[in-house]
Amino acid sequence: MKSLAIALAVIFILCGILSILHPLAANEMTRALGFSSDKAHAKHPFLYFVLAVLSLIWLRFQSAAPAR
Amino acid sequence: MVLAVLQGVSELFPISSLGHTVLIPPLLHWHVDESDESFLAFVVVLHLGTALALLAYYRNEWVRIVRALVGSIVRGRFNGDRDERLGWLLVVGTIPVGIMGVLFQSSVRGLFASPIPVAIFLMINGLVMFAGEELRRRQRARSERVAKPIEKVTWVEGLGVGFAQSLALLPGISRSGASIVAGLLIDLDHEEAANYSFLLATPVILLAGLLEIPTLFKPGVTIGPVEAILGCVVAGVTAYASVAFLTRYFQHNDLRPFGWYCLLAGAAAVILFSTKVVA
Repeated sequence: MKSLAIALAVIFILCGILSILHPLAANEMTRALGFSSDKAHAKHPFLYFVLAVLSLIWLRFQSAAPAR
Repeated sequence: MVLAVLQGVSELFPISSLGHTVLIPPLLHWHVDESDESFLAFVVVLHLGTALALLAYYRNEWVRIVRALVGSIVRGRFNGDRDERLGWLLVVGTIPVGIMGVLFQSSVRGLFASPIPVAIFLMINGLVMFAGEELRRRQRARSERVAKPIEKVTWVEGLGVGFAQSLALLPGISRSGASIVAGLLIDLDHEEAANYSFLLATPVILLAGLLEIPTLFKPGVTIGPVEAILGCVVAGVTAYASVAFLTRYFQHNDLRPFGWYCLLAGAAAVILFSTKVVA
């Protein structure tokens, strides 16, 4: 579960960065990830960074849990 | 101001605020351009008023919830406290509507935001409330289950209520109606389901409003500060009165009157719009 939490955090941070970069340099990869419009969206980076923070909080809970 | 009152009431009553925003203007022959920047900016202000009213009504709960959430993150483990459980259920329940709202809101509303589909969804909203009440009655009759407190709700059930809430992206489906029905189906009583629904709606409405604040400063927006503040206050006061009424109402009553309203209003709107009585 720890590795899943880390993987999700990394994915969401990358998506957040891509969603900021997409309006600056739109390309096929970012369009494939769902950023269809080339105008700047505040909501997409916000969503991805919130999800990344939640993944890190999940990691915190996993790290503090006693090993079974 | 009529729009502010309409928003304050219909956002929290299980009758779909978005559905009413689409249906009421043509029914009353108002010439409202819903894609106009000034109209969108005014709607943002109304949402902020509604969210602030919810925060004010549940201020003590939110203080306890935030304190419990921060405490559990610092500790890195759960201690089984009711506020902590409720806080994390709200986080889990907000994830589906957050993701779907950001990714699909514009396309879904573009597809269905015309009167006849909205009126049909309003009727479906009414049927969902009847179905929810009936399913709950059968569950109770079959297994003699009693209502459970919020701290007994599982993460999966919390996620399910969140998914139900995201159905409100469809104009005509009520956010509070869908989440109260989902709450009833996981064995919460009406009062607990309604409180959970309003708490769950607060971050969504607040964030949706805050993220749209730049709309207020776009060129072409003609709303003055007095209109904005007045709209926010009227929507807030109406929403506060609505949530105070509904939390008392659900202590002893169920969703069926709202189901009848949605069914009849939706049917009337379908007839009026399809027979071109209303353009």
